[in-house]
Amino acid sequence: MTKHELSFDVRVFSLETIKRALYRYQDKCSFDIQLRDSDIVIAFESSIEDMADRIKREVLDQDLRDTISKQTANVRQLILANAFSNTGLIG
Amino acid sequence: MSPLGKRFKLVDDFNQAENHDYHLLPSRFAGLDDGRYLLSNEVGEYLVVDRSQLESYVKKAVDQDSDFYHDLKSKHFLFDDDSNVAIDLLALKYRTKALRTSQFTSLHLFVVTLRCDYTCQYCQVSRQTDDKHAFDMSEETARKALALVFRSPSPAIKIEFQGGEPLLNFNLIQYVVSEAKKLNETHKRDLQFVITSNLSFLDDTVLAFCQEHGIHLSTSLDGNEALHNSNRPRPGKNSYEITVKGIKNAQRFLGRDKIGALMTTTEKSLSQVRSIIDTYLEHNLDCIFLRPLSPYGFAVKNHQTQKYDIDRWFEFYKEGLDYILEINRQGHHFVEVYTQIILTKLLSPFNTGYVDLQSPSGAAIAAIVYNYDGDVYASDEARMLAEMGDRKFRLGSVHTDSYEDIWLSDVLLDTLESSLSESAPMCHDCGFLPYCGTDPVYHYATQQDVVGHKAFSGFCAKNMKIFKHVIKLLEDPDTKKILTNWVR
Amino acid sequence: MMIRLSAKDNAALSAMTHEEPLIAKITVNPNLPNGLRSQSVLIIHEPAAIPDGFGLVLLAFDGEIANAPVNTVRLSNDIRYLKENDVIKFYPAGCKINVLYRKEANVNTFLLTERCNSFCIMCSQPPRDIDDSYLVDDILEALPLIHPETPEIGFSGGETTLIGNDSFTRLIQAAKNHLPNTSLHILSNGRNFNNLDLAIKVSRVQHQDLMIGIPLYADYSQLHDFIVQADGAFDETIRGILNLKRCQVPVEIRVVIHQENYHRLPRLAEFITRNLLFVDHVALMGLEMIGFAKSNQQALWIDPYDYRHELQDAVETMAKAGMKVSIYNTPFCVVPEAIRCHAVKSISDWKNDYLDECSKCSAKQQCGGFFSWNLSKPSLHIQPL
Repeated sequence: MTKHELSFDVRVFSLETIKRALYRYQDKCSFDIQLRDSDIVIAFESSIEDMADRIKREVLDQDLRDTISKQTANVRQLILANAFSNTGLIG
Repeated sequence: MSPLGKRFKLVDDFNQAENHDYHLLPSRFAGLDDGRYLLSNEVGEYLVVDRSQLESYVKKAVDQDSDFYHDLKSKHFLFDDDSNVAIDLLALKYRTKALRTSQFTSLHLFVVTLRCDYTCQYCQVSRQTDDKHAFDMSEETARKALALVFRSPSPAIKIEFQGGEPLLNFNLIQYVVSEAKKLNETHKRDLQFVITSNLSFLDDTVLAFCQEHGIHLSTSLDGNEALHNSNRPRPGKNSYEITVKGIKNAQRFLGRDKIGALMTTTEKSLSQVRSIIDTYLEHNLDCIFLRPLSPYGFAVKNHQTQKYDIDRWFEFYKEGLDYILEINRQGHHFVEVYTQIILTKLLSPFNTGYVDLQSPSGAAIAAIVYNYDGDVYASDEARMLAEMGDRKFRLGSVHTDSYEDIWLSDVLLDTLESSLSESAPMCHDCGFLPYCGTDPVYHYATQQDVVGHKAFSGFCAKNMKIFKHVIKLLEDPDTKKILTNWVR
Repeated sequence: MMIRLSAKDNAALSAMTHEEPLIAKITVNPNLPNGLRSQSVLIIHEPAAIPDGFGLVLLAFDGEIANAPVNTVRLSNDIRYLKENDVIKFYPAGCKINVLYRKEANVNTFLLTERCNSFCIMCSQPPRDIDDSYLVDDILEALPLIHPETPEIGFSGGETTLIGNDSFTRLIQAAKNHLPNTSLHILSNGRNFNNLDLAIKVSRVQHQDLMIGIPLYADYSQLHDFIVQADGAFDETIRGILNLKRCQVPVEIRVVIHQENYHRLPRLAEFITRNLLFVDHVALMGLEMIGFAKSNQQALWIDPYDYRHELQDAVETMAKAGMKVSIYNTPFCVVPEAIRCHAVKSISDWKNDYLDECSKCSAKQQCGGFFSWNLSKPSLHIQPL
C-alpha cells in the first residue's frame, strides 16, 4: 500500500466532478477529500501502481461528461417532448 | 477533380454553419480500451473515438470539412446551423426504442407446480413431495391469474409454464391453454405458449397437445453427458439421455423451431465451453445462451469473489463466442443469444424484449410471475429470492389483490423509479447505457439496494466486459458480417 | 434500341380540320363504328382504301395514296412502330406528334412539369422555368384513354409537386379512377411534403398502389444541399419523407451515385437504416449520362466498378436490416456477385441499349443494360459473363 495525494484546482474542476470520478474507484480504495485554499486535495492508499494516473484521467473524463450534460440538457428535454407527442410514426 | 459548370455553386456555398460553431446533442462515453472510447448517443448510435477526438468533439473544435465531423453529424452527436432535422429524427428514434415499455407486460410466467423429478443442488425452488396438491397451482388460482394476464395492454402475450417440472401438473396446463384461448376470442392478442420442461414426461399426449396449440418447448441442456448429469442429477442418473431424447422427439414431431434449450453455467462448465457448444450442434440446436453464474443459485457471495466469478465467466463466454464465430466462418449459422441481444441494441433502431437489459427495469413491466399459490412476483429471480426467505419483490396475490393493486404497488413503483439507469450514479453518463439495463432484483440480492453501487456490481462488470468485447469484434469487417447476420 | 417518343417530320397529305391539338387513342381497325371514329386515330401500315370519319389517319408506309380524306398524315419513320391502344398528341400546326403512351412499354412516364425548385448537378432532365401548365390538362385527357391492363405508369418532372397541391392530387385521383389496376410511381424531391397538408391530401386519395420516389443523396445536409444546389433541401426532404410515412403513403428513396457522394454511400445506408427504416424501397442508381450529368461529366463520372465495395457495403447494410433494396442502371457484370440479386432491369425500354459485346453474354436476359446515351461512356470493366 502506497499513500498518494492528488490536488485539483477548484477553478478548473468542480467538487461534483471530482466526487463523481472517485465514486467509480470506490471498489479499489477509499478517499479523503479536503479543500485546501483553492485546491481540492484527495488522499488515498493503494497498491495499484497507476492508480493516481487513472484517477487523474477519470477526473478529466468526468469533466467532459459534465460539459456534455450541461450543454445538452435543453435539447434533451426537447427531444423527449417530441418523442412522446403523438406522431403516428414508429420506426 | 474537375469543377462543375459555371452555373453551379460549390459545396462550401451550401454550408450555412460557421466552422466550429455546432451544438452538442445528448451523448455519453465510456472507456473502451487503451486510449479509446465508445461514444454513444441517446438512441444507441455509436462511434469509437480516441481521446483527442473525444476532446475536440466536446470542446467544439472538430473541423467541419473532416469525415469525423460528418460522421458525428450523420449519427446525431451534433447539429449545426445548416440543419436541425436531427432533433425530429432523434425524437422518432427515441420513441421507437421506448415502444417496448409502453406495450407493457408481454411475458407471463405461470409456476404450475414446485414438484420436480430432479434434485439439482442449485435449484432453490423445487420440492419433492408425496402430497400432490400442496405445491400445485389450482384451477382457481390459474383462472384469477389469467384475468390479470389479459388486463395487460400488450398486443402480444406469451404465457410460459414453469416449475418445478410443469408437466407434472399437465392437467392445469391444458386448463390454462384452453381458458386463455377462450378469453382471447374477445381480447384478440397475439397469444403464444411456452412450456419450460426437463422433457422427462414428454409423451405422445403432450406432443399432440403442443402440436394442436402451437406450443413451444424450452428445456435445459448443460453440455455433454457427464456435465449435464452432474449438474442435473435425477434418480436413475440418466437425465442427459432423457433430455436429448425429448429434444429429438420434439424436433421430429413439432419442428425444429418449436424446441429450444438453455444452459446453466456452473463451476464445472467453465473449462469446457467448446464441448458444451458441440453438444448443442450435435442435437441440431441453432443457438446457445451462454448464461452467467446466477447469484441466486450459488447463494449470494461477497463482493470480491463475485467479481472473480465474473472474470472467470467472461473468459468462458469469450472462448465460447470465439468458437461460435469459427463455426459460423465454417459456413454454419449458429447464434449466441446474449450477444445477439446486444447486437440488436447496438445495430438496430429497436430495443429487445430481454427482461434483464431494460430501463425502466423489465421487472413486472416486461415479465411477471404467478407462483403456484397465487403470489405474484416481479420476476423469476424475485420468486427465487422469496424462496430463500426474502419476499421484498412479492407484489401481491391473485387471490386478494387487483390488477391495480399489483402493478401500482409501492414496492414496484419505487423499485422502477429508483432503479432507472438514466438517474443511477455511474449509469446515467455511461456510454453503454443505451445497450444496458437495470436489474433491481440482482442488486438488491447482492447489495441490499435496488440501485446498487456499480463499482461493486457483478451485473455492471459483466455487461461492460461483454459490450466492449462485442464492439471490438465489430471492428473486424469479416466478423462484423457474421454478427450483423445475427441481428433480429 | 432507342425509341423516339416524338417526331416533327410527319407530312400532312390532305387538309387539316383540327385547329387545336388532338389527344387520342390509336386503332388499327378501319371498320370502327362511325360514332367512335372522330375520337380515334387510325393507323394503316399498307396501301388500302382509307375509310372516312377518323379524327386522324396515320400512314405508316411510303407508297402513293389516292384520295386521302381530310386529316391524313404520313408518319415519320421514327414513330411508325405505333400500335393499337397507343395514345398520341397531334399538333395540327407543324404536324408534330408526341407519343404519350405505348401499350408495349415497360413503363409509361408522364412529364408533369419541367419546372423545378432544385438544380441537381447530375440532373438528366435539366429544369426549364416555363409555363407548362397545359401538361396537366393533357394528362387528365390522356389517362382515360390508357389501357386498363397497364401494369404501371409514372409521373415525373421537373418537380412534380410544383404543379400545385390541387392539380397534384387531382392527377393521382384521376389515375385511381381511370386505372384502378395500375400502379402509380411519382418522382418528387419530397421538399414540398415538408408541408403536412400536401401529404394528407395525397393520402386521402387512397390510391390503390402508389409509390413516391424521393432522392436522398447524402447522410448530412451540406453534401445533399450541394448536390441538389438548394440550401435547406436536406431537412425539407427528410421532413417530407416523415410526413408521407406518417400518412402511410409508400415512399422509395432514390440515390444517384457519382464522384461527389460515392464515398459516403455506406454511411448513407447506415443513416437510412437508423432513421428511415420504414421507407418501402431503396434504389441505388447509376448515373444517367445526359443533361447536367453529361455537361458535368468530368466532375461526376465514376466507373461503377470503382465504387463496387461501397455499393456492396451499402446494399448489405440495408438488406440485413430487412429493407427492400435495388440496384438500378448498372450492368450486371460490374455489380459484385454477392449483391447481383439486387440488380434489376430499371431502364425504360425506349432508352435502353446494350453494347455489341453484350450479345456474347449469358446474363444479358437478366441484365438491365445501359441508357442509350451511356453507351459512349461505359464502365471499363464490362465483360460478358
